[in-house]
Amino acid sequence: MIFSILLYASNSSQQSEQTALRFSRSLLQQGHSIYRVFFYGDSVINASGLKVTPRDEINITEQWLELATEHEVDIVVCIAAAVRRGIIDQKEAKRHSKAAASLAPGFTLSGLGQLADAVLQSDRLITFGN
Amino acid sequence: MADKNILLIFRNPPFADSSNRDSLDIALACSAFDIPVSLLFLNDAVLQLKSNQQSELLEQKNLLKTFKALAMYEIKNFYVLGSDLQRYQLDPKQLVISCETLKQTEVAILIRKFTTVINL
Amino acid sequence: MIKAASHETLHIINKSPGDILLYQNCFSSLLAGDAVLFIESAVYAAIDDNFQSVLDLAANDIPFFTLQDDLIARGLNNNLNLRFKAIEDNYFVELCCLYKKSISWF
Repeated sequence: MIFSILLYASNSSQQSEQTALRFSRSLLQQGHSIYRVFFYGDSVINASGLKVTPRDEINITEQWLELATEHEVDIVVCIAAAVRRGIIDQKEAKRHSKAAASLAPGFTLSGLGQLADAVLQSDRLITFGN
Repeated sequence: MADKNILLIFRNPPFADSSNRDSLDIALACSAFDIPVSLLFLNDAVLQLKSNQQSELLEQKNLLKTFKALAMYEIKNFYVLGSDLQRYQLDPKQLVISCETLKQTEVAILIRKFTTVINL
Repeated sequence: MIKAASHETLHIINKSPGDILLYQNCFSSLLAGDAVLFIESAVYAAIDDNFQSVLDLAANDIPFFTLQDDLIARGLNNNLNLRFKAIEDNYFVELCCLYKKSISWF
């Protein structure tokens, strides 16, 4: 089956993001596929390339990137949610005259149309949030 | 892929967090992709639809204009619970959009009609 | 593992039973053919003695599942309410395939 995942955390340190990763790994292992992972709301914080994770904690951003690279999963960050939280790519940094970009390489900023498209293209949309 | 339709569930009062705005934006995006959209308001979310809100006093964006504009995007199916209206002493006429009033038991039946549900 | 019947909506809930309104919303949205999966803090529902009256809102023919790893991570492995069936992550995926759609309550 083709899945898409919607991440909507209002507190990015809570467990839901980890559950979403566990779920994603498990479904890929079983031969299903992920059409898209869409980061929305405060979940966009986890697409920041500027986060520094303490050594004894897991860096969820890197884990998503690993999963995306290994399985060619499209990981899209809602541009409207992202820019208002300081998650911007080079293009947005330039457009808004900001000092630096913060989006981790590997993530893509795009509009909510990508979520609507995921609804159309996937057999199942599973939301993980808090 | 079978035809899709989507139900967005709102559950929070105005200004509490960004979930109402975020759900509204999903509604507009889905509509732009020709996915039929319906909105269900549970609990405090019915307060989001109350007329005469003056959000500018809180320097907050007023979502009412967007709710009123939904008809232009062919989004016309709105549902509220009679028990929520009663609790907050609201008359359906005091809401900025015309909603169908449901009994609690009708919510489950409504949910059945959709291929996709997003509940932020 | 699951009896043959129509599988409609999988309700996924992740808050502890302290969030009674969330449980009321979720349970009053159930119809025959639905199931509830308790994940993250919601696995505490399986040991909550005070919670029976809320749980009773869900008809007896609604299956309840919890995630094994979320239980073990919280030190919960005995005295679980018998209504809850603990499952592994791969079965979570299977449930999502089996049921036509999911609704997340958080």
